[in-house]
Amino acid sequence: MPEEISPEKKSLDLTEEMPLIEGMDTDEELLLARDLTSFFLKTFKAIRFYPPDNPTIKGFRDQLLKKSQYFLNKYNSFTLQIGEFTLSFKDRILYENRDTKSSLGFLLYKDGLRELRFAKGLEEWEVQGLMDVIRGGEHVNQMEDDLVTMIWERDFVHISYLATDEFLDENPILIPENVDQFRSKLVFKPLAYNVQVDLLEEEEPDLEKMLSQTVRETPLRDRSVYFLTPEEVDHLRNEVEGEIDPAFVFNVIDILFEVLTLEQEQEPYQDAVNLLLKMLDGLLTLGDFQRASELLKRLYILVKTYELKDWQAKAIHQLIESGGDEVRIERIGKILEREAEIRLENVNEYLILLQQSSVKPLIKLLGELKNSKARRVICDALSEIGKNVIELFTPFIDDRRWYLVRNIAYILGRIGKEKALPYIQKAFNHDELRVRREAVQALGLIGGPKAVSLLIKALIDKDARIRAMSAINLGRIGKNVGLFALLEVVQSKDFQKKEPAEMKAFLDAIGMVGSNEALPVLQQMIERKSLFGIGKKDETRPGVANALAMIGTPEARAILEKGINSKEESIRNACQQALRMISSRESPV
Amino acid sequence: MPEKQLSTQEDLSSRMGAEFVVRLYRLLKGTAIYDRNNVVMDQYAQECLQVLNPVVQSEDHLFLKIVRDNLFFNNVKIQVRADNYPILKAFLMEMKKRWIGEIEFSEEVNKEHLKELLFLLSGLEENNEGNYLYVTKQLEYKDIGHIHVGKLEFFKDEEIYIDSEDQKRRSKEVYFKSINMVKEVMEGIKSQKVVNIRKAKRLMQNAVNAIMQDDSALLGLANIKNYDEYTFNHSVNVAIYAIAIGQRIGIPKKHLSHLGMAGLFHDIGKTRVPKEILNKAGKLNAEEWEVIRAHPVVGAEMVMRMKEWGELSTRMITGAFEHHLRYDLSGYPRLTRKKKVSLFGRIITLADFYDALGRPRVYNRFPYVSEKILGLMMERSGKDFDAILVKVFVNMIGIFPLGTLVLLNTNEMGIVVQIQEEADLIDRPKVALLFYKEGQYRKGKVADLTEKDETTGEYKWKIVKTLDPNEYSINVAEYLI
Ligand SMILES: [Fe+2]
Ligand SMILES: [Fe+2]
Repeated sequence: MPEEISPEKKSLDLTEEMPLIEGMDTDEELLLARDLTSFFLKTFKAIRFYPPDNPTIKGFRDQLLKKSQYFLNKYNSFTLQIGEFTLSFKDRILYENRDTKSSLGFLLYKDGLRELRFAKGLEEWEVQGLMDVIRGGEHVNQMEDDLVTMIWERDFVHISYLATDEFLDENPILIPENVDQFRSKLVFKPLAYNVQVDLLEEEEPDLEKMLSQTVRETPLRDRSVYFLTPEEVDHLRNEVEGEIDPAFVFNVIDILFEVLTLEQEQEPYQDAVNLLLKMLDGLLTLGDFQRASELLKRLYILVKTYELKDWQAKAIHQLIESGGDEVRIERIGKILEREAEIRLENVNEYLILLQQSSVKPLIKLLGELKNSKARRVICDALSEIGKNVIELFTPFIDDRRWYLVRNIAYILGRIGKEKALPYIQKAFNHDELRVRREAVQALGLIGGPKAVSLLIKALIDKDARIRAMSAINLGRIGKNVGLFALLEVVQSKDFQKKEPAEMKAFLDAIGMVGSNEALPVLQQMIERKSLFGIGKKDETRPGVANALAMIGTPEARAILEKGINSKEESIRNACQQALRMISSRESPV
Repeated sequence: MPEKQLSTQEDLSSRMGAEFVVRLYRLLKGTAIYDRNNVVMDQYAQECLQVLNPVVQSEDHLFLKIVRDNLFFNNVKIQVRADNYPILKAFLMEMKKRWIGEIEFSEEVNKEHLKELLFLLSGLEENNEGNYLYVTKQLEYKDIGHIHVGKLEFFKDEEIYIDSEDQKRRSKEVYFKSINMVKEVMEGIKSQKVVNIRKAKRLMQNAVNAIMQDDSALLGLANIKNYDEYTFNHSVNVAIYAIAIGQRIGIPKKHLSHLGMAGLFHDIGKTRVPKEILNKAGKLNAEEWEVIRAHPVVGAEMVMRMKEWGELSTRMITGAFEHHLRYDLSGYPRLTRKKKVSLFGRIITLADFYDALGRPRVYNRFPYVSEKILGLMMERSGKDFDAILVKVFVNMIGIFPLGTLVLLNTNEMGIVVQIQEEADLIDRPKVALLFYKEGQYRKGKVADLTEKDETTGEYKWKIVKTLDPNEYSINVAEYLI
């Protein structure tokens, strides 16, 4: 009904010339049929005009269903006769359009449809299905499909059709009417050897022997031999269901891999490679990264296991590269953005199988993707596949998107090459705090004297978290050079004013170095009296004791043991706690 | 609904429906043998009611409806399974013959009323469109208001043939058109033409339609083993056997036509084998065998080339590639990695083998008779063939397959022309008797081996043994077209 159709696109003209027929006004069935046909045509126009997921289309479907059901409840069935350019009901033309491009009559007629029949009981899925068929019928590959096939395959219950396929026979063929005609085409000469390939054996005598030896005289008279058990029937049922599952199409992958090991000719080999790429695309579109990775892995195995000719290896290498080319990475990005269900570890598994050529598109994607978890997966993969090409990453340190710069810093850190340091330094000087923090982490991962000296500078940064992170990273990689810098900070007067978390980071860092060089300073810190009375000092002592425990050398332990006997309670407690930690570390339960 | 897995509820309904039909059919058959008050009939009716009344109680009614080749049970399509197939099919035929398309029970039913209905149904004359009116009237007259019977509904030319001659004619058309089409396609491929497989698809749809109604006509035609050129005739036969097996195990229509296509083109790779090898009269050497043995792989590659990847091409690639693999993968091509042969592939393997073995070959003057072939298949099931599918196949072909030349205990010779649907009667097919006149055998009357002598109660005929038609220069196909 026009009033229910959204008027968003005014250019859709739904009027259709419906001729008036003499005597129609008195024939209710004819009037209703005309109305129904007219709505059918409007729906057809709408199908051409709107995309399938447009709500307007749903409105048309519901209306068409309603109108059809109304008619069918009254008259049981509705048959639309299809002429070359016309649609008729009970031999009266209700529609005529001679334009082969726009005529619904012609669209249906050209594939051989002669009648469309609707029966009482028509259901929504059938109307929807018919609409889908008509939509598909316009862009069908004429060498393979037609409307009749599409309707037939839907297996409608309440829609049927009459079709002719005579037009498919260019030259009429003889169907033998009698024995003589039949005999004229019989071939009596024995068949050539090639037929034997259809049998299981090529050596005829063997088969003969087998027959005479093994086949009992009347092997089949015993019913139990061919009786199907209920389990077998169920088994078959399950097999049928498994096999008609749409995902079955991917089973061709196995065959393609066999072809890739067998085929020695270039052209068919390339065909198989191309088809495999389509399979890969199909899997990616479905978000099935697990099977997609499996496919790539099999390709790598193929290259390793078989002695491939150069052109074969090249074709396969290209295939692997295509698996991560710009188009596909873009597609993967769309899927990651859209589907929350996807298991990211599978995505990672896929991405790390890609080649260096995928680095650029992946960085591009990284700049666009909003889903932060997915970004992390991409970063991890890039750290893996971009190991030897850090020059592809470094230019992005100057990108104006801070989050991308941060990711690049992360990746460069994970790759851990010293030549990335100048870029990390750039990131460290970035305006965005989050980038600077990432840079500190990267420094810790890269290591080396230059990174250490940058980290030492960062110990006095204006951001507390950067100071703490630098401390920890120094503790991990800085050795003695770092240690002296750390000790300097903890001995300074200002150290006592720091927030507990930062203090702890510095003391832990000292502990991490694990060197006796730190002992004098630590001993002094634990034993000296508070300058400010009780309070902050109490918070420092457990941290210092903990650092001593982390160092764990006999000398460090001696300091702690001495502390147990201290007069001051907070010293005793801190030392006891630390010693307990050591012993639990030494004898884990 | 097609293309959708059944919900648990629907699956339950479908199983319940199948069970009901099995019991109803038993009762219907009983009406021909027992009289109304026989205890056996009481028992059959009781068994029916055990399904019927609980369904009426819980779902308000029980409504059995025929839509084309499907039975609907309270609007749920009854799924065909390998075990219920023969009965569903037989019941469908009985109803169609009588133009009855609906039976509805709107209240609980008692034994007497149910028996009344079944005797009414079985007494109907065949091919009378008005039967439902008669039954309705009779039920009204007997004051049975809660059972309704409706007319079989379909459009006249909807490819539903109640008349078996019509069905035969139609099947013949499909068969010979298909041979021609395969020839066209394969020759087109050889001359590098773009292949039009649209026609092939339409023909396979027709084959599926025909087989779903009654597979005997096309299975009979598949006995033609030496018509025109081997590859074309063989291809069509394989497609027919494959579809027929597929429908018995409940493969849905669309997929059946794809299975047919895969069967039709399973040997497409042979078009690339040089003619000199194919038609070589002498023995083939090792290299030549190599070339021929490549045809599954070549075939798979050809399909890749000619078709966009999709469901259908997947079937065709798989069918071509797998058809000589064998169930235990001992065939060829040798695989680098174990894989399961697909169900469709296993079906095509069976069909391929059965058809090829039934042909005369160079070293063997006579093709094997079906009984021997089936025996061989049984022997090799689990190794070369899927054991369960072999059973299904034997159930379908019968132990005396269509076209088998048999000797009867009356010393008459005949050709099996129809298999009984019920497994119990598998050794009692219908046989066209042959008589000898003017130097050749001719087809005489058809004997139904389930017929009994009225006075003695003994079967009138019995198969004594199968004969090799070649020894009598009989081309069985002639009697089946
Ligand atoms: Fe074959
Ligand atoms: Fe073959």
